[in-house]
Amino acid sequence: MNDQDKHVTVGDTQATPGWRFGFRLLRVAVMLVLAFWLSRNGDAFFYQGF
Amino acid sequence: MSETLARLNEVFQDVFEDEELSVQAETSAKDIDDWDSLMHVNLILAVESAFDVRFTSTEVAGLKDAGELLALIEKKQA
Amino acid sequence: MNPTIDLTSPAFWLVALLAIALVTPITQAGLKRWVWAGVNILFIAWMLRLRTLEVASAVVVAHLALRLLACGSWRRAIGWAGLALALGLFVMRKLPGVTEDLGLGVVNPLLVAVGFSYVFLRLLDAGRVIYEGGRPPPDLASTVNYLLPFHMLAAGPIQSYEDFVDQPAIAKPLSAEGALGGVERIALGLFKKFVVAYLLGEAFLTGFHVGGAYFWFEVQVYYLWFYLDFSAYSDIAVGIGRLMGVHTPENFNRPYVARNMIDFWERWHISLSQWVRRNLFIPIQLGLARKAGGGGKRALLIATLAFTVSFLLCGLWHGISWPFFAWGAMHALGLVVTNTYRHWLTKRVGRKGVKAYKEKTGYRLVAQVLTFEYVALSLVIISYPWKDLL
Repeated sequence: MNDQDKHVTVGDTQATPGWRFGFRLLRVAVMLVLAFWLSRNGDAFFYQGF
Repeated sequence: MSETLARLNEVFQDVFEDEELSVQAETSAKDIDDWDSLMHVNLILAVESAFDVRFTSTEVAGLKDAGELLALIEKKQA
Repeated sequence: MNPTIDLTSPAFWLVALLAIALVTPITQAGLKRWVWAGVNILFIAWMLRLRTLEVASAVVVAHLALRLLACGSWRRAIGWAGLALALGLFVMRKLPGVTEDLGLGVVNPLLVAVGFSYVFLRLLDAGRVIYEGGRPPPDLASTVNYLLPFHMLAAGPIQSYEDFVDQPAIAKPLSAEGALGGVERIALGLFKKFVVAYLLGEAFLTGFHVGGAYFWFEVQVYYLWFYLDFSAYSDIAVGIGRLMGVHTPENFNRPYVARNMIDFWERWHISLSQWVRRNLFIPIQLGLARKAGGGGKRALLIATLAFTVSFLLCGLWHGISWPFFAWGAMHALGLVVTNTYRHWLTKRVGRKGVKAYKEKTGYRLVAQVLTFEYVALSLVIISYPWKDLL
């Protein structure tokens, strides 16, 4: 009846090896750089202002 | 089995039209196939009249299993 | 023009960093409540400038009203008066110009406050739970934190009041793993919004100004774009919440795989559909069933009425206009059809039959495609340039 508990989680809580941790950090950096670069053209979120 | 649980069991059997049904404290909507949002309201109304209690919509929305229902009934009857 | 929360502005991220730096290390519950409230007020002050005073007074009024709902013989009257006042303000917010017509221009600064519609939903949820004795009323700091959490202000998620009260006062200390998880979630949100959704929009979306086969193609892309844009905001909110140790509920769970409209609303804007379930669907269903009595056919009729009223209101909550009314009606219809079909199918082939039927891959795929197209069309209704047709 209630599916609220089925959470999607990005990043588990298990300890990960150092190289994997580094890879994830690098991935975050790439995503942030791209987002920052393109956000200068970007507009506001559609779903706000309600 | 407490008296309240036995009575609750009868209400469940009645509502779900299943004589074999045996309700435990941890019985939840997952365990009874027919226990959907339609039957939920029927169940609540049947429990209300059987035990002469009245639930708020907050209580009805928050119920997760038969154990919580049992605890609520006992709290209201105390 | 309403002030919006600009996630490309440094102000938002400075407040977020400040919140994480100040709130996360606190291990004393009372102190954490007040510091967190301070951050939220600071955010409002920064974003709204001079309107802070109006917003702060409104919060104090809301706080007193919530306290009064918990005790005293007047609680019933206060409940109805509060509901009427909140509804009145909400309608004024949604129909621009009404305040001037009524000579009530003084409330305008309050109405344009960021995220008013979401604050309204949280206030109603808290009011109902407190009135029914489900949870105690909040103290002043908690009133601020429940009604105006800066990271959930603009577009949710809408935390339930029970969930807000029940969350641990102090979250588990943040591990390196947990911190990276939070940062990843924020980065994912920003990437979805400013890279994927942006490029998708630039490449394919025309605002439905191209007809023919392209229109149908754009309908598909628009649903994708809408999901990326909306869920990105929730990703960022959940990520910030995790870093601060402030519980922030999930809002999406792979909506594209939904196989019917009931399933869809368990996966899309989950916090809103749960709000509708708690505050509209169940009270309406219970109220009607108590009046009319339960039972097979009648239960189906009552559920149909409850779905219809709930989702028409849900549509109008987004905006008091015909497109949103039509959107609400379309979703109500989808839910009613799903519910009735499910009921009919169970009667016909039994529970085991339904289970077997659900496991067939072919049926599942057809159901998923139908649901996807139905939702995509409902989104077109609210975004189609109807004015151009006049």
